Amino acid sequence: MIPQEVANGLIIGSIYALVALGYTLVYGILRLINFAQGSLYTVGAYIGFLLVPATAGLAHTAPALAVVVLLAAAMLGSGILAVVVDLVAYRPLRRAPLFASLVSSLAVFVLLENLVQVVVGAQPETFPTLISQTPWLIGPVAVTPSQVVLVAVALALMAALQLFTQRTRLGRAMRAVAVNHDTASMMGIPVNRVISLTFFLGGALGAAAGLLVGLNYGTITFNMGELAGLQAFTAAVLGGIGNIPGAVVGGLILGLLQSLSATVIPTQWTDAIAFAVLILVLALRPRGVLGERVAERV
Amino acid sequence: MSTTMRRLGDRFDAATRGPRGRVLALALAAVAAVVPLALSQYDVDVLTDVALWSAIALGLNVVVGFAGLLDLGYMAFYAFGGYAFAILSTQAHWSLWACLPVGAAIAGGFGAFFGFPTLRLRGDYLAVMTLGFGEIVYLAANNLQITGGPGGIFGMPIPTLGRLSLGQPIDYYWMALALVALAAWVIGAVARTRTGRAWAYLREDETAAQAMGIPVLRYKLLAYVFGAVWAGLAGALFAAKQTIITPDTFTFTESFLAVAVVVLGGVGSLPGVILGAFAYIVIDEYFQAFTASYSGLIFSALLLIFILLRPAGLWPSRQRAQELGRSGLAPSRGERPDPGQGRGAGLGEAGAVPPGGGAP
Repeated sequence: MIPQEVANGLIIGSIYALVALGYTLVYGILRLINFAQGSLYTVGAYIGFLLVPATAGLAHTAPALAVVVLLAAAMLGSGILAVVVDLVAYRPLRRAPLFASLVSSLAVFVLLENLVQVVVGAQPETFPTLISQTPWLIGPVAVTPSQVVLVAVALALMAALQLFTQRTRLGRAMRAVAVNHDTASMMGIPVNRVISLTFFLGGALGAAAGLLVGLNYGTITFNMGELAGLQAFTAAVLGGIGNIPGAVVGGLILGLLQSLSATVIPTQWTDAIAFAVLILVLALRPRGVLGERVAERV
Repeated sequence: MSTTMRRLGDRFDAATRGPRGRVLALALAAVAAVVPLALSQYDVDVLTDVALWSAIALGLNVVVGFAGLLDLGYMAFYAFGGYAFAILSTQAHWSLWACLPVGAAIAGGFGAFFGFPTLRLRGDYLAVMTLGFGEIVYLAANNLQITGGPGGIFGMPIPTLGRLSLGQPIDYYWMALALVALAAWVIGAVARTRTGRAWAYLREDETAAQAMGIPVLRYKLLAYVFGAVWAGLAGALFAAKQTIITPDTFTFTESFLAVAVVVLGGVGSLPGVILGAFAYIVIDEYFQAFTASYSGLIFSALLLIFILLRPAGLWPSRQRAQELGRSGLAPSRGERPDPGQGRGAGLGEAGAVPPGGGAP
């Protein structure tokens, strides 16, 4: 029982981690809680869902390729949307007080969520099964190929992000902007373009998570980003917001906590675990688990 | 729209000051009480919603407008009041009049319980915490036995006053109007006390307020609890009027709309937020015919436009000038004196400061 719970926790935890990376990237650079991250996750899932008919032929011959196409489209779509959101709703407020940008990001979140509802309707949508859901038995643990794909894609994206920020020139530029906008700008770094890039990456990662959830759990709703966004934010805070490895660690810990707690408390309460964790972490250790390394913020 | 609303609100605010203003306010209240006698039951029902939302907006305005705390889970307190009435009246056969103070006390008590560990956090973290609090209350109402789960509680008795049965739409309207009048009067009075000035101080500059010896956490807690009480009262009245209460009445969207009403109506201005509530209910009623999601869409879009047009500060300068005791000299809120700082979204002391920074 317990090994199975651990597996489930790591699966849902890697979703939290992906969305949490979006929060942490933007927070690291702008010190802004981007509430819209939750709706970028939703939009990603719906882009994938709406493109399923278009890739139906491909899904028949090469399902793996179809998944890659859907993933790329969702990530690209949400990534661009995130950049637009920044240009329209955050950039004009860069020098305005915290309250303004916070309310702005909140408004964007509700706006996008309601737009999705108006465009596709309030009813839940069913994702077709593209990857087999027949479980494999690995020792005491049953996992489906679809879950394996989910974790593999999530891990690959996290690794790619880590490589990007640590090993590339652009990644170094991002870290520089996170430390200080003006100094970075004097060093010749195009700060605004780097910020756009950050939003793109955050939106793309959130979209990947949304699509993977759709592929794996089969159902998506227009307000799926509310709960997931809040849980992922909790994960980011738990790991130390602004810290990339922290977001991953926080996501996995939160996933494990939720799935393990399901063995002792009724499942409808497991969602409340995230909020309890958020309250405890912020009240007791606001820097998060890996938060001391403030110098290495992105 | 909101600029017009704000201007109207400002003018109204100025007109209702002083002894002559008190007469005007009383006259307006009398008109508000009498006019619905000539309206249809449907219109009276809509006006009751306006009154209930005015009470909500007035209460939230204490938290957002006076103390400057962004509360994204305010409707949770509405739920406490509503469920208190629903449970006590159906299971213990309490009257509405006994339930109102109890509902208010429960809402205030939970406000204190939740506020104490969280209010020391910086503004953005506090916003997320209140969002989480609202979600927990929603989850609890959805899953607990005592709240009736997703189906909620129904069959609350019609309130009575002595032998008089208060079951007509106009009765509920008058009760709600009485609540608004009480809220406007009490909140307006408190705003002019030492406490109100302390709120304005900590909203404008928390660090300076603390340095001047203002117990920041205590005043934040006071604002939070005092604001919660009004939602509790409004929630109990709402449950009595509907005779049913379900978790759907205080989702995150509702809490967001409450914030939007306060911000669009004019943060800190009592007549402004009442106008905001009026606008919200009218728009909401109009679009109910299509689908409920449009009010979320419209208000989020309005809020976004508004905030982009007025980024320097949501607080009307006239109000701030008045609070700060000088006119025209007050710097806009959060204006950055040193543009060389270049720290993103205006979180002044960003850098290495943890979210708990700045409080005792």
